[in-house]
Amino acid sequence: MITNNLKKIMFSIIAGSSATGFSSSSLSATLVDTSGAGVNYVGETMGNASMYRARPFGALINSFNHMATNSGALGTTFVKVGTGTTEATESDYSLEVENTDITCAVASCGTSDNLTKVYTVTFSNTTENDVVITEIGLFGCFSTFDNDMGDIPLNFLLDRTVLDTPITFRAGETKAITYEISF
Amino acid sequence: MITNNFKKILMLIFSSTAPVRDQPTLPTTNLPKLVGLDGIEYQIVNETGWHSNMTGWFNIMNHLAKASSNYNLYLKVGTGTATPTENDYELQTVNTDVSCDTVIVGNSANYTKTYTATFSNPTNSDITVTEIGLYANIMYNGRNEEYMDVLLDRTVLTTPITIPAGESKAITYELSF
Repeated sequence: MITNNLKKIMFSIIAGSSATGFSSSSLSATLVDTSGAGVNYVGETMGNASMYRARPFGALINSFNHMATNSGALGTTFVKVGTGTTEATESDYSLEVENTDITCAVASCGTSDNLTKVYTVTFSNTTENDVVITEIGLFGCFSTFDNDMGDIPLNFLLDRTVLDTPITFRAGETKAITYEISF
Repeated sequence: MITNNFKKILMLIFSSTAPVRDQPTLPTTNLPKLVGLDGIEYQIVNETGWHSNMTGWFNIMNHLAKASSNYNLYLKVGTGTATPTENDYELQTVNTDVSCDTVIVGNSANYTKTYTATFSNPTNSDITVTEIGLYANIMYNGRNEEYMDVLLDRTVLTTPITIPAGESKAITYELSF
């Protein structure tokens, strides 16, 4: 389920006040990071410099097309898996029970017929036990740029899906997971 | 129902090739084709430079005009009743007797954009509107600075709207994620 974070981002993107350029003045939203803290994104009006000033949102949009294998890389999207089974809600800001036993080794993204965004990740179970995955989360690592402090990368949940059919990773097994977003 | 045109435009949000801190930019390859009001496919062409940035496309979602004009949305009404499909590229039967007098863009709760247009009926007969279309005029060719009109959404009304002769009515269109 798409989270309120992603809804707010999409809504802010289509709310720009400039006719043809990149206006940050109306790009504002309060997102909830993975710790549950509210984070304000507030655009600034700086005339021709607005492109530069708007870079928190620029980085945010750019991240949708840049995949990483794990969290913490500014301006990237990444996938995590977990073992929670609670029904997903749009207010979710993290996975219910994140699993760190299996690791993501490969991540890529593309489009299908220009109508669907496809994120493909490969996870490996390096433990000696089977791991059953029941939930998957799509995250973005965005910056709340501050003029004095520079980039402040934070992670945000964009979508959480509880699987109808759980995925079992056998001990030592590697599997690819494909995440698709379409409208 | 939002059209494939609109879906492709929204998907461009997820296609920026710019580095982390740069202004979002369209890719230069594998860009979609959009279907114009004439039913012909137009290839989106990106050219590095001012016109190529993708943000101008999304800003149009906050600009509503009375009729087609560059970088604006606009509404048209019609009398078609065929069930909408995502492949629609124009209203079934555009009504040109009514005219759009005023437009307002707003925001409402739950991340919803509202587009309100007032249509007047200057004829001597009542007009019953059964379908409404949301359109955009966008620059599809950044190299030659060429614009096109695309249908973003076509809705067939469950309850048709009658605009009596000589009167006007406001129609509000809501768009949410």
